[in-house]
Amino acid sequence: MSAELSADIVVIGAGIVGALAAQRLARRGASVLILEAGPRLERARVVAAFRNSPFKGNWMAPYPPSPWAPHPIYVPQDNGYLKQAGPYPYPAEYIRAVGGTT
Amino acid sequence: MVPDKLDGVSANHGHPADPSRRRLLAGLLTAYTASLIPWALAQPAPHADRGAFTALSAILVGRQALDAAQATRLYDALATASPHFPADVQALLTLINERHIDPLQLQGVLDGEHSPLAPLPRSIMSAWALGVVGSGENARCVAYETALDAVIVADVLKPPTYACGAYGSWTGKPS
Repeated sequence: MSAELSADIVVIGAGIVGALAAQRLARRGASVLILEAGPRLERARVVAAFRNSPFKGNWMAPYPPSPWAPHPIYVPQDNGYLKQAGPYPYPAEYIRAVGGTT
Repeated sequence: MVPDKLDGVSANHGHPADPSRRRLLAGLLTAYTASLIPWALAQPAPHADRGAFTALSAILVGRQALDAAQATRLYDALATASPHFPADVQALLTLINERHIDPLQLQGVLDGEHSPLAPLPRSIMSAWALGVVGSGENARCVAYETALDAVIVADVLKPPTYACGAYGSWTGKPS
């Protein structure tokens, strides 16, 4: 990114929480910058990823991770991205993209 | 859209047999296997291996018409996944020829004899039915709405959708 940006408040992550927080702050008059690691998902690419996936029952198939913003993938194999150290590890899924998992 | 593809899949019904196709397959089929295949299915296959695959596919899935373009894509994917695939297809076709095996009994016969060809009918039929070739990390999706599992039920199955109509129907103002 070539432009140098500045704002009163920088929100990390363009999921629903980041988006709502940024909206409220902006309505109060603050200048707000949202940083998001993942891409903006285009509907056509989401549909194409679903159609091209051999695993139609994998609800994450339409949202393949970006190389620069990986997220957990378990089908067909665990990509090892998420390390769970807690007492009850489970295959948590989330999407790194504009809009987040929501 | 699905209806267009369906037309493409079933477009061969009732066509007269293609003489070049007959010549191409003549070396591969005996009267028995030829009797299992409706000749109307065939569009000219680019070479004998693909012709054998289309013939064997027609016997296995029991369809009168199979889309030639999809047959080529499935054949290429299956042949890439397994280097023996073309030879196996020829061997199975020859086996059916020689022993006059009823297609409905074929899998049972192969399984019962622990034939090395036993996985072949399943891989071909799942490729046609699911549009998926291979499994696990090697799985590839070759077809979706033209896979037979979608085509066979397309006349009755209405997949749930939030769309109010066909693609683009939302651009018009409500009346």
